[in-house]
Amino acid sequence: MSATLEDLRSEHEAEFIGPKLLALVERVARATALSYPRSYSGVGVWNDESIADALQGWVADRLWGRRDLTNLLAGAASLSALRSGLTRSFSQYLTSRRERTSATNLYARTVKMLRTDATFAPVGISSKPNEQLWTLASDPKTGPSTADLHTRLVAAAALTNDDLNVVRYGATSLKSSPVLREPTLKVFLEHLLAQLGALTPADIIEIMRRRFGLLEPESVELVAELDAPEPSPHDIASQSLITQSVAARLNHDDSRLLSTLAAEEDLKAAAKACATTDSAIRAAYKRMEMLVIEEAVEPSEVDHICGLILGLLHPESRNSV
Amino acid sequence: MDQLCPVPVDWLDYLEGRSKFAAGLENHLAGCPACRVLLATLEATPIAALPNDWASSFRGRLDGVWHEERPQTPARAEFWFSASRYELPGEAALNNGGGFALPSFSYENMNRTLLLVIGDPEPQHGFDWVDVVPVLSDVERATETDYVFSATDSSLNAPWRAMFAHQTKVDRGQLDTRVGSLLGNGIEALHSVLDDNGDESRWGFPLEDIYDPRGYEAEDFEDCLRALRTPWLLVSEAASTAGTASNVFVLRPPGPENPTERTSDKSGQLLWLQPRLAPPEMVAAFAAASEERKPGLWELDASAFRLVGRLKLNKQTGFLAFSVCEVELRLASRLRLVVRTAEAEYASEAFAPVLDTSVPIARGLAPSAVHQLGAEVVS
Repeated sequence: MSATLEDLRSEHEAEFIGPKLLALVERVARATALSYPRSYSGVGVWNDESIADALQGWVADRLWGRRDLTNLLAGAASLSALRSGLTRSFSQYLTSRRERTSATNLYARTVKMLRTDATFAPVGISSKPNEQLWTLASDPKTGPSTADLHTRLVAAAALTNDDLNVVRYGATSLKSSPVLREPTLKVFLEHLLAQLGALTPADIIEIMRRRFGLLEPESVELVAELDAPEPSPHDIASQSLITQSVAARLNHDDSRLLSTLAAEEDLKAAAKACATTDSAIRAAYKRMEMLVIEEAVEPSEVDHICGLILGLLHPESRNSV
Repeated sequence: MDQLCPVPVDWLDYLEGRSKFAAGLENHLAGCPACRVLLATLEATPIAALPNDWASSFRGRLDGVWHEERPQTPARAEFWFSASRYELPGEAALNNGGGFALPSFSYENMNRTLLLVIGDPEPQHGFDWVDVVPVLSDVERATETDYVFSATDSSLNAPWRAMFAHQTKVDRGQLDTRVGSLLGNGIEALHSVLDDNGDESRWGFPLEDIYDPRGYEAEDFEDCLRALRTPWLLVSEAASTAGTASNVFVLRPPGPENPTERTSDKSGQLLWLQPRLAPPEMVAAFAAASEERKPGLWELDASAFRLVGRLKLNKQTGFLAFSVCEVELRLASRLRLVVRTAEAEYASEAFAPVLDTSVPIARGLAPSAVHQLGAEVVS
């Protein structure tokens, strides 16, 4: 017998999280995790261990840390609304955890570049890597920059996204990949140090976070030895998993329109079959593409994976990759 | 259209024979390719029951449970849950003693939304109106119109983004229970933001474009916001129709110069853009009736040009700017934007609209203050 909303509220008021609530949140985590690509697992695969890890992190960070459990139980008008709210909370946890990892990767690569590229030179010696001042070897400074935050942000904004080939939202951008690749990361760092004087990694991270709208890094020590590789394109198996996860997270209307597009292989014919407009189908395709862009590493992957998704959504598909 | 899919745990229940709604789920499955893919994924990846011994550290943590109270009057800086049911009475009173009829409006069994009270109740037309902003805990999604409070800023011990783009007035009867309040630093932060002097670092980052997922909220949440703002909109509109000398500004779906009509776009003729997600206080009838999900854009498809964009307050320059998201110039090359607020009208310089650029309009004007946004062709 499933617990009612009142059962769950009573249990929450008595012990915050008891067996009934735990059973529900565990099932939400198990089911929801599998609708996301394995890159969201943190270890490259969804299995008992990685889902248990995500469940524990979610409870600690969101259900307890942000009082999501209390808020959702108090606000939900029905058990169904509670289940939807918990699903959303878990999805947000997975997404922000992945974005934070991606941002941390960029910050780590920044520190590594400062330490290994002869363009940059340390100012004195600090026992804490985050407090080590860095300057340009060609124009060394002896003390920390005195520029305030506003001045720093104005300097950072002087190089446009186009100047930096920033990897962001957009038809050919890849949001979750590191924002800057190696050549432009170096250009950006040189620019900051030239304009502002000597900065610490902590200074640079704060500037980058605000300039590129990134999350704060994970609480790890940013040392040069931290593994922070450039992303590499997905293999066929990974592309198949991305295909499946994106298809599973399309909304009902979009999946229906795209399924018809796959069957008709023609925009106008699909629009006619669905009694809708060309632009409605284009918009559905664009939303699918944006989900793919979240996962793809190279722009060339996007079209390929979109094609795989249409194949999967085809009415005659067996709906598995 | 707009059929919502079951959540993944519904399909897990279905697969394990635990669903009470199996017939309905099967009916949905027949018409939903996405859910068929999800079901296949769940079938292909069996996961055992997960260990949960770690949960003992949270068991019995009653300091995480909120206590709901029902004081008579809400006060600034308090957190309240909205009521799950509300009915607008049939009549309201004019300030000069007369009365006017109100349209029928009610809701019930609605999710309760957590609201931050930002003003003291103001009596008008027989109602006690309270200024509120909804708050959500997903602070990573904060945009430039969300002000972030940290976990130590309130007695709720959780971080919040206060969604000022959704600021509205609610009747006292739409508020149910008080669960907490801002504390020292939080109260100071609220006062400073209300004085237009908030800590810049507490605002979120601007939306990237119309596909930025932060520009969209969950449909059930948007439904709640729509229901919450509707009573004030309806009362205000009815009051203005009844001819009261209301100090609430007159609410109209964009103008007698209806912007939805395609016009001749003569040079100098002002055409009105239509809000896709207007600040809620702008378009009462639309807000009350529309079921469409709305991404915060203004748009106009005229014969001379098509223009879609978003109003943003540039925190660096202090200028309200129009960010161009889509543009198609047919018979025009230069435009001028005109913004109307309750008190004044502002105009931009003439400009050639270019995708992904911003056009400054007026200094110190918040997007939520804009009633109407127009564009005219400049020869």
